[in-house]
Amino acid sequence: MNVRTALRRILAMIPALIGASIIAFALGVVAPGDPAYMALSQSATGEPRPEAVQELRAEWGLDDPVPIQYVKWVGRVLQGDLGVSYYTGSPVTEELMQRLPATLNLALVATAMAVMVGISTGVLSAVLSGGALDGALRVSTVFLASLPGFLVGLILILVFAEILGIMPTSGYGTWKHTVLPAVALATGPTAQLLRVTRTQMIDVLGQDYMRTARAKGLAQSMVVLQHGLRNTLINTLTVVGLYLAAILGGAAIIETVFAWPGIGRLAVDSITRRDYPVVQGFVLLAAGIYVLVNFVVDVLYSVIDPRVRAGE
Amino acid sequence: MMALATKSRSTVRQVTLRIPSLRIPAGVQWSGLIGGSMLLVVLVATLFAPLIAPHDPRDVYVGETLQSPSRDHPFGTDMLGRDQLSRVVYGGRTALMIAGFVLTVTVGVGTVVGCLGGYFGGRVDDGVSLLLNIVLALPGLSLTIAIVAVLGTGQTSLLIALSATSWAWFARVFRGSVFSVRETLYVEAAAAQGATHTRIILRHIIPNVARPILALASLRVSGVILAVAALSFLGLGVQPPIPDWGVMLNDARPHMRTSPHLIVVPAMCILMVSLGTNLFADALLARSGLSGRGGRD
Repeated sequence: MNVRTALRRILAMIPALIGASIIAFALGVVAPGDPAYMALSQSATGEPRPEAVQELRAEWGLDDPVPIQYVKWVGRVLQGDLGVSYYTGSPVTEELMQRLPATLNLALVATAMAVMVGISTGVLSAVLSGGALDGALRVSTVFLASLPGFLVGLILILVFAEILGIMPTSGYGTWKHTVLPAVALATGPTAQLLRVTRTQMIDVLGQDYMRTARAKGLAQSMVVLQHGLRNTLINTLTVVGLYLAAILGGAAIIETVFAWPGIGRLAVDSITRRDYPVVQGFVLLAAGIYVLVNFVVDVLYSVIDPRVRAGE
Repeated sequence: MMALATKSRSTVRQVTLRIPSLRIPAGVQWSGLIGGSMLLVVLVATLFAPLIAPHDPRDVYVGETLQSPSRDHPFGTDMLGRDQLSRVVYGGRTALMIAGFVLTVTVGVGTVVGCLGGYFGGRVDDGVSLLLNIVLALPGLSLTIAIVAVLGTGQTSLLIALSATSWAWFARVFRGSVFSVRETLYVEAAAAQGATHTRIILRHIIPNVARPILALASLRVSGVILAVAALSFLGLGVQPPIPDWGVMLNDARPHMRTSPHLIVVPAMCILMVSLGTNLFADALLARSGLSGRGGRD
């Protein structure tokens, strides 16, 4: 991929980011309550003085016309200033950054699980296409893809934590805490990946170059792994990127089920506390990550697939 | 799956309807039959909820809390002594009503926007594409949560939030389909006969793209139902005492060890709707020639 295409891809992210920023900003404008009053009543003891509220309103430019407020707000956001949490009184950026590693940790483990299990079983299913194992895998795929993650989480807690008692019900810290939420988060994407990989692999197995490879005298396993898998992965990669993004979204729910201290649970808690600056920050961060992941997938795609590179 | 997250690309492509399919083997439609009957069971149960429910779903029976299934309470009672069977059938009403509403908005808005972009092309399409790209480039679930945050928790906010985040996906698919029939001979013939744009769209384009697209839309039912359940489970959706599957699951959490039926019953309902729609919609898609796999396997 040359510099020009890279630049074009980067520019293509801008409308989405502007859209996300407008939505996040609108959230702050539409949200009930005066932000200046809320912030002061949080940091000070007792009722804040009206003059102090007025001062802060002036400082934050809350009396300006909305478009000007937006520009100023974007300026502050670009400097990493997302405002102050009404609930804790500390900067939203700090709150989010404190929680982000936990979410990324969970999302990455879940993605890794989904990729490993989904792709390997998908290949297996394709190679043994039509057999009993393939049939069993396909039926379970339909089943698992229909189960919402939080329900998988509940069932896992019920079985492994409550009944068998071999895993903790919730919390954060050791690898044991990670297993159940990661499995819950990975279930849906794993089923989807299995399906996509299987379809792609069956497609690839029917190609001429596969016949050539076999005609050369390569062992079947080599043919499948070297030629088949590589070509399958190209198309599967796009899907993985989308699932990583979806996993980040789903994390909000799974994190709440397992009391996982990530940004998703922070967002859900903040909604119940009417802590709008934090929700606003979460929306921006989630959209940013989502757009970025899609961008990276786009770039990777063209790096891996020579045809895409040549086509540009 | 988190169906709310949708694929985004730098340009809105002409979608060739290559969605991952849940179909079991080619030609065999028993999966569709199973799916259809699961949906039918749920539909009948919710439609005739007042006849099926042995008690009022909100009635609290003191002294009958957390009971196992019995003759009087076939699915047992919850921690407040409310009849679980009654709650589950009325909960189905809530879920299906929300899904029906969201789907209507999605199909309505999606059709209009998709037709505008796909049929008129040019500047109009540029505008539509830009809008779709922006909406689709944002993570659906996070947006839903944000909208609920502003509007406050409850059924109405849930309706608005889910509708707002799911129309764009449908509009994109519709736009792609309209695009592909716009250049066909019958459309040209109609135009040559002096048919107006409205007539061409209503009489020639929509009838030709509607069937596969509606089948595709029915796949969304499970996505919406899962989202409703998830958000209500988090306390962001339907609020108690309105019976809802997500709320029931959340209520059941502290008691799941001693009364697992409290989890199992609503879970089975969610699974039945979700699995049912997936199987049914896939059979529909296969019949419309859109297996999503180009006829292979």
